[in-house]
Amino acid sequence: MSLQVLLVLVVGGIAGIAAILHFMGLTGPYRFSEGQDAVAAWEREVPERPATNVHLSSDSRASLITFDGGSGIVWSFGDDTVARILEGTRPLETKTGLRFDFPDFGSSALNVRLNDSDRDIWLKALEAQ
Amino acid sequence: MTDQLTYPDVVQLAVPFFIIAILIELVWIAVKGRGGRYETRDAVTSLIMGAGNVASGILLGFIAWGFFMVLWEITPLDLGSSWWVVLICFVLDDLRYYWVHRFGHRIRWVWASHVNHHSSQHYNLTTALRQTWTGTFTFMMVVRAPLILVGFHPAMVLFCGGLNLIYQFWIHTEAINKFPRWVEAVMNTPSHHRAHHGRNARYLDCNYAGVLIIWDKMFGTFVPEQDDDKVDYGLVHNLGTFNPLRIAFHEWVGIYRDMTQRGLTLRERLMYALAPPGWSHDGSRKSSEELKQAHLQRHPEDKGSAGFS
Repeated sequence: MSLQVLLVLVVGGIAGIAAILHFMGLTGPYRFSEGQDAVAAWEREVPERPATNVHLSSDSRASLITFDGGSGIVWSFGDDTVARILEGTRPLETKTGLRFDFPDFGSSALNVRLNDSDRDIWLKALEAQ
Repeated sequence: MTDQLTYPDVVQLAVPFFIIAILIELVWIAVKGRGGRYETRDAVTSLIMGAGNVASGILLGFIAWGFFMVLWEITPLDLGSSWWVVLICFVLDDLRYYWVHRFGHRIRWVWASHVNHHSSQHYNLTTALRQTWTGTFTFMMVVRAPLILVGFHPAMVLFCGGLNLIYQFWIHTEAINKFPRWVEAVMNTPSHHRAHHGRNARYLDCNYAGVLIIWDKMFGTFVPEQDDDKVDYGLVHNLGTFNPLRIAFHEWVGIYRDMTQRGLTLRERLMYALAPPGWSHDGSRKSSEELKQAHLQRHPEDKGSAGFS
């Protein structure tokens, strides 16, 4: 197979499959319907640190989790969820909420949408840890 | 010596089949309402990783090929190219795959390359194509050296490796439950490989087979998929990015950061590269064995069951 044909197949295949998936409505981000969803997602990834409190973001796509001795964050990731313990990670305040930059290279920065009152709640909860 | 032996690049030839099979699986899931999940960014990321794998093969394949041809020049043995030689080569290369794959989960340096294949939380045919960009740097081509030294031509060995990869494509699906018992007993199947992709403590470090599951049964790493422990796909610590560069290189970056910490002994620095994933000099992380032990402390009822024996 020539490189040109391979290139057309690969690029066309990726673009075509992406378009089909998107138009089938399979791009929607996961949202936590309630705090218990966030706790389940947290404990799926960090079972040794049971959640003691949970604060959902304004758009229900992220949640601050507190546990004995620390805090963490769980957020929607495509159709799934990801969790991180916040060890020394302090967020930056943004116009729309908070931005978390994680030390590990396996996580992109996370922008959490929070209204003013929710942002205050999150910052107080983080400071309390 | 059969220096001019050539075989087609079967993985490249299979690209149209891969695309068609993905579309068929997608339609199947949409029509049946079961048999797997697709998400656009996850699938596109997997496909980009697959394209990158092909590109890295084109760019860096000469290194392994050069190494194999040096071995071919050295060896006085030539088994020829008859069909039964190809068949034996295929079976032995499948055994080679088992060990390379096992090293890929038990040596962090090799895991750094292989981890991206496990980085999706989905399990569908696009996941099969989420392949490494950095395989050359693991130096696992040395595991193929014995095959060439005993007289299998490098082109034949690579041809068999390509067939092995194509076989493994279709087993990355939830659309097929289980095959008849005799098939499940001998072959690597969607069920066996689903277990391999599990992040559940039970399924960590099991089912390394490529085509024949008999290797796992021979070497004690077989764990059957359990109806009462649904496979949770992905990594113990899932990635929080769809960025292909981060996916391809995150574990290499992790190794670099760990090895260059201050205050470590030389042995500790080497262990960060060569010990199983999860090893740490201060015990702050958990290996597969420790994760299984932690699970059993929370769920003692699982003690002695598959994957916990």
